[in-house]
Amino acid sequence: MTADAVQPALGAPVYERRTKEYLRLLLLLLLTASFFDGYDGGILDIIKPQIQDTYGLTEAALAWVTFGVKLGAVFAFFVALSADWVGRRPILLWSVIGYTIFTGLTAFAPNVYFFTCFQFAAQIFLGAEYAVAVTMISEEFPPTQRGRALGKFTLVTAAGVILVPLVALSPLTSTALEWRVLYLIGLGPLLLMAFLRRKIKETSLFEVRKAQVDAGTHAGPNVWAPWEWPHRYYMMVLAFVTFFRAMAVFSATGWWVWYAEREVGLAPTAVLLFLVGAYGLGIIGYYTNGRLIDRYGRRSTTIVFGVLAWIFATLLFNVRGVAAQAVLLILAVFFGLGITPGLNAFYTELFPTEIRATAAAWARNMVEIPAFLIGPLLVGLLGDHGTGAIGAMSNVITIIFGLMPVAVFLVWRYLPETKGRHLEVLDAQA
Amino acid sequence: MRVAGAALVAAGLLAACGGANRPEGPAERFLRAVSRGTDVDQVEDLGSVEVAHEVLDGPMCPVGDRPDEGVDECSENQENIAEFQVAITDATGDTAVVPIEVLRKGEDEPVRMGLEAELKDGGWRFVGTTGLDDDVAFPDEGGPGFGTDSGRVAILTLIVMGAALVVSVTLITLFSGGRPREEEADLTARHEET
Repeated sequence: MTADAVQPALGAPVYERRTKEYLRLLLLLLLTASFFDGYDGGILDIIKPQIQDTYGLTEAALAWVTFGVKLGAVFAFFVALSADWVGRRPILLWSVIGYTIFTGLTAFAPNVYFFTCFQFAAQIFLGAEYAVAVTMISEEFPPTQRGRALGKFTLVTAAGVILVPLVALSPLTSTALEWRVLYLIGLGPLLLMAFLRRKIKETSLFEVRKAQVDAGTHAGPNVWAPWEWPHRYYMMVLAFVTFFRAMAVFSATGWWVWYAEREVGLAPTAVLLFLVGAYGLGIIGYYTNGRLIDRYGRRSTTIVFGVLAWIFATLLFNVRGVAAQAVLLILAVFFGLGITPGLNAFYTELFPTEIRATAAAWARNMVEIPAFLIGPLLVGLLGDHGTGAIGAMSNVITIIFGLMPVAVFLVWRYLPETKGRHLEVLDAQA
Repeated sequence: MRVAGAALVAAGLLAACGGANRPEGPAERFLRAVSRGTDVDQVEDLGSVEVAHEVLDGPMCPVGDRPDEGVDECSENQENIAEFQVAITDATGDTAVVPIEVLRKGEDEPVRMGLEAELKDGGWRFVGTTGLDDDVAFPDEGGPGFGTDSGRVAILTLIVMGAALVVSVTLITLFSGGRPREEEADLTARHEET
């Protein structure tokens, strides 16, 4: 069965192969939206001390504010999976509008309660936009370009995060608005909306499948479908891979700044500069991973990146030299975060169109985000120098990062190679 | 076991009113310096400049000057401390004494002293130094440092890895329904034409 031979019956919508010009425009628009996605999502972690001072919070209260805000990403699940019902395009557009508006409103939050609520809502739309954008890239780009496009996408999202400390260090935050300026800058995507609305099309795969569902020739989306056989096999494997990897990576990223200041002894300004420099170089890993998964395959690239992430992250949290910290931080970011495009490819290439967004939403919002919350919390509780059972953040992170090689094993043992897959042929087999 | 500085920071900041009045200057730097402490596997071989300047009886720099900007007194001060380590203390109430042992360069015997701090105006303020009882045990004397030794961390890591592996493989084997058959050749058909 060839990709061309699976065109739907006469009279039904056909799979439209997108032109290079449209793909270029699509990627540009999605990259811009996701740049601000990364930016808006990265603000809170950088400005925690200022938020604490503005609203007069204790560390415990600040921790709860952070937890409440990040919980929004779990609820993004429901918005993201609705893309299998109403389409990718409307969810993308509304997500951009949603996170832009609530990010802008955050700048005017009169107290911590409004701040938390606005940011909680923003996180819902940020999480949904990311998930839907990944789905659109996977469905519109041909197999030979999909990995590269996913690599660029994740790189630009991470680049948005880097902009936050740069703005924080700039004179903009020395005005009376202080940290609020950071959230006002997040209004940028509203300018993008005019172009998005006119230029972005619904994905061809979704339109064809929707026509089939409307004609009664194919079953419609089902929120539980990823957990029904045959999809359940891959859903379970990906859920474990996602959870273990997220626990490892977010435990480390959530506490590296604290570890660098309190257990290595770097000055706070040096830590911030390390972060900007190392992150800026390290996110090239996203692009590199994207290229490598197209060239060598998703499995082998993911395995290599996972093993190296484990090695460098373990060294990062057990070696105290300043120069070593700089080098190891770059490498840990390069491989630990750079593994993302390969995993995104698995999420989208193992499932047919009618459940693709749903499967990705399950993996990201119901598995990854809880790990994102639990991992750093465990590190804090177990690694507290005063009351923790382990007594050092570095020790706890070293232990938790042992989950990364387990994730690598599961990829090696259970996942097929999906490089070169034509998604419309996968749909025909479904 | 516990590091006095980190316990001091945690207890003090959590007890402070709202956290809005964070300690600044000497106390902040002192607390950050001693919160590094000494963990069970490592010996601190460089002291904090802030500890030398602001807390111990080293010469004080003019306001605004930093040790690396060429002021002779301040530059020399960086080398005062070759090693320091911190023992355990209990930071309860609104005062605390942090036991610290400092080995200055060129000297043979370390100096043991207590660093006094008080909880005031929403944060800890360094008060001064005081003598220390001989029965305080420092990490290189077998006393407690923070963290867990490397061997135990390695064992715990292997236990976590093993448990995660067993749980995931068992659940996938029992509940996944088995790997689906796929027409892999069809899925990558016409790959060469794209």
